[in-house]
Amino acid sequence: MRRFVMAVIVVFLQTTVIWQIALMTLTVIVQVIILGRVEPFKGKEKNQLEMINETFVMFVMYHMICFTAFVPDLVVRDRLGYVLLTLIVVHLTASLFIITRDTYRKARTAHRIY
Amino acid sequence: MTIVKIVVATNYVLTVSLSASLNHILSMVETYQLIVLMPLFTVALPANVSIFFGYMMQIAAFEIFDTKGYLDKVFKLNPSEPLNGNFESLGLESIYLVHNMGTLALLYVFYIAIVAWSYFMRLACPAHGNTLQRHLFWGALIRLVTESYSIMSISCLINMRHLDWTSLNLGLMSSLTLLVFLLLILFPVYYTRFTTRNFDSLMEWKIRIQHRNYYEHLELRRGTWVLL
Repeated sequence: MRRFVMAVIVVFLQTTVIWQIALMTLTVIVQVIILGRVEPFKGKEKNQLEMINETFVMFVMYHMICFTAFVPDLVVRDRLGYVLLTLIVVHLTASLFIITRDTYRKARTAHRIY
Repeated sequence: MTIVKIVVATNYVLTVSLSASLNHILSMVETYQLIVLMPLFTVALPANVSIFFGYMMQIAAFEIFDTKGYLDKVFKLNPSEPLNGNFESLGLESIYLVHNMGTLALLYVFYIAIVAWSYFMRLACPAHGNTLQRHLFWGALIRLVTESYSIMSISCLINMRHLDWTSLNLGLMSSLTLLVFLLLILFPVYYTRFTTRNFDSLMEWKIRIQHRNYYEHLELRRGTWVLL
């Protein structure tokens, strides 16, 4: 449902970037609060992983604020772009590490069974 | 003996690769689907970010094949302008639903073809046909809609801004857009209602085998509203 709300924000609020960013930040914050309070997923690790993902989304969101008139210097924006890309690469590497680790654990268990 | 080894090895690979990694990979893709759509805000992205997100969008939107030329031939619609430069750099170069969905649209066509084939199978061999349909309704559909929800929402809403009934092809595209819009709204609502009503029997084999993709990873005892 949140993804649909985001699509509405992106497509129908094109003339008001401030509302786009404010509403998106609000949805991310609400999601983080729900994740922290309710813990809707099975298993502690899954909840923690989702929390890390949401925090990452929040970081990307704050970078988007820096690409508006809030930061007028183009050189600074370019550098912030590299910071954002580094952040994404670190997150991607961490995610792939977790996937590989879980696959290895599963493989070890399956090997014992067979 | 060789056949047994092959079967065991295949089972081993499938157990390891599908059950362990697929859920994590899909969870990661869902996060990236959210992130790659952020550059669609009316912001002036630096060139480095714009190019990087363009590549990431191809992964998040499962854009495996270049469908543009093929879809142009099938639907014969006039070329259209993207909503703005940010949409263009992310590959959402058209205002039409099917063109923006690309490979995902082909996946839906493929799904419909398998469903049609399952009905023929059911006539020819009821036992196998029933098993196939049990997995198609609703397991595969839930997975397909869930994973394509972000891209489908964006593509649908872009087309919703330009509904046009002046020709047969445009009317077809507009009708399809309205249909997809209804699916996007009704899908989460239906499943929340379904899960609430059948809460006590969700773990029964018959319901679980068909609908588990929607709720299996959730702790529903904390409230069925977490589905939303």
